Amino acid sequence: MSETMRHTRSLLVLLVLLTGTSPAEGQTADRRAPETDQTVPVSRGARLTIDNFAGEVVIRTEARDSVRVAARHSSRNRVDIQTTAAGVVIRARGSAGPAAVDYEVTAPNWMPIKVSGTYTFVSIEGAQSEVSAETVRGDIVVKGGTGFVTAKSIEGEVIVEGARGKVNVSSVNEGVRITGASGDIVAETTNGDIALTQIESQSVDVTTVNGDILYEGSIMAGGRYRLGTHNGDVTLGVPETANATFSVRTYSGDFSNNLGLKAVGEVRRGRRTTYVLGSGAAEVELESFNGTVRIRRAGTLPAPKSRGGEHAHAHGTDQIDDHGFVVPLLATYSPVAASAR
Amino acid sequence: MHDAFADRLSDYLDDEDLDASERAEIARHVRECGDCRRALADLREVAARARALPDTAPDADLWPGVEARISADRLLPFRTRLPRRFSFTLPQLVAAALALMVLSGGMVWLARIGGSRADFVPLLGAPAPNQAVPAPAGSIEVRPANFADAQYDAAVADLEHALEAGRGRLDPETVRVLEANLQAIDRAIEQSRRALSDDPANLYLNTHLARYRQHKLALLRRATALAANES
Repeated sequence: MSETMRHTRSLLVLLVLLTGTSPAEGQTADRRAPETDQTVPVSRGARLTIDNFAGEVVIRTEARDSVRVAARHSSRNRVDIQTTAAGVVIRARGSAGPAAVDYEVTAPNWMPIKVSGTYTFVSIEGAQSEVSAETVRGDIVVKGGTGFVTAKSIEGEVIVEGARGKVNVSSVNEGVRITGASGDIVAETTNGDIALTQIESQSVDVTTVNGDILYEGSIMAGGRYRLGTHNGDVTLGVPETANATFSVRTYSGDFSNNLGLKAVGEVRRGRRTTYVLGSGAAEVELESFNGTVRIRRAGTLPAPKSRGGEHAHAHGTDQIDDHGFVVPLLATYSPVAASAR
Repeated sequence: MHDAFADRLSDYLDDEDLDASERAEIARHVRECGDCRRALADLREVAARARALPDTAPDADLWPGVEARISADRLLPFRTRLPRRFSFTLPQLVAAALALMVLSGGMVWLARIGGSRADFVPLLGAPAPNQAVPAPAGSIEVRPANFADAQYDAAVADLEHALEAGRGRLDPETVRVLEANLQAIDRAIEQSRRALSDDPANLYLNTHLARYRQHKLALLRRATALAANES
């Protein structure tokens, strides 16, 4: 057994001791009735707040003015559901430390939702209001959301689909994917790729340090788009009918396009080169220090890279990649998901 | 550390958004909880450091030139506006202070390079009265203050100190990931610096360096906040 596997196992044992939930309990969790199953009525304007140390938080919505909380957890843990005029606050308490709970929550589709956790996988689907999700070690999947849509993880992948409004998404050690979103978009990570597809936006700001960036979506007149990476490629898919001025900067990388764009002025390595498409009405900045910048005709882009379609529940041996990065296979702890493998 | 209280420590320190009973509750808790007491002390220290940041006067006074140009033109009077009142929370002020340090550092860096390069357009106006080297006719010399790296390094050092203090409250694996990512940003910053030494007037490299410095500060802030909130 390798050192890292021993480390992983030790961490699991520690978590089990801390949370009072054993894998055996989790193994039957999806077949047994939830230990907590409660429905509370809510009024318009109320907010839903969930704080979960470890486990899953899966929220679905429906057109009904009540919140149903189904939670699976150890008998030593207790789920507190507080209802006030401001909304519903859900927390769990353990008799021997932080609690691990798997939540399945059904909330009104109009209800603003805020979820925070540490070893927590978060999935929020169908919200038609503000959404905020933040974890340390765990993936976040948000489908829907209107207004301020915020999703932040440190060691998990963040996926946002169909959000509208001000979309702010970040990870640190994993990738970010945004699909079918509209509004102002900010996406950031340090060690991971960022893929934005089917985007309708006038304001896009994307930054990574070690990772590729892919953008395919509208380029609106008067819009501003900035895609920047240090070690990675930037690929932009643009409709041929778009009107945009592209400022391309790369220090030790290359530039290519299949739209027949010609540089305006002199091309010098490490300096800004300008390309104009149509009237040039949108401002697009594309930067990579060490990578290649590509502008492609829309529809000719490669599919965005995925981590494999599975959420970061996987446990295993951590690895160090070529850039000296931790590749976190121990991404989150979830009693149900861990035991299901 | 108790999340219910940790989330409100900043409001408690700012004396904002809390009624008397909430303040009393937090005060009572802080007396009893060592982690929250330390977190509050850290917040107080950051606030004190932000307040203590020195006001640095510019080496070159641009006002005479600006004033001369204003007086030469016919100016329309401003419309009278009602006074506006702004208020900011402590985290907003700290974030603004750090952003200002990075921004001003980047601008001074640019200005410093501009002083020694011929491809920057000179500012038009009256010659500076105390210039050491004669400037081209009709231009003024700008001698930027050299505090960019020191201010940035001080901000980074403060945050690293706070993070180190809270390190024990974080999962070791998370600490390892954060450190690996901070090192990656450092490598990007170092690469940018090396490239800048070869091509100091490169605007892209300057903005790239400033951006990744901001990125590092943002990650450090996030890590520090995480350490403060972990129970």
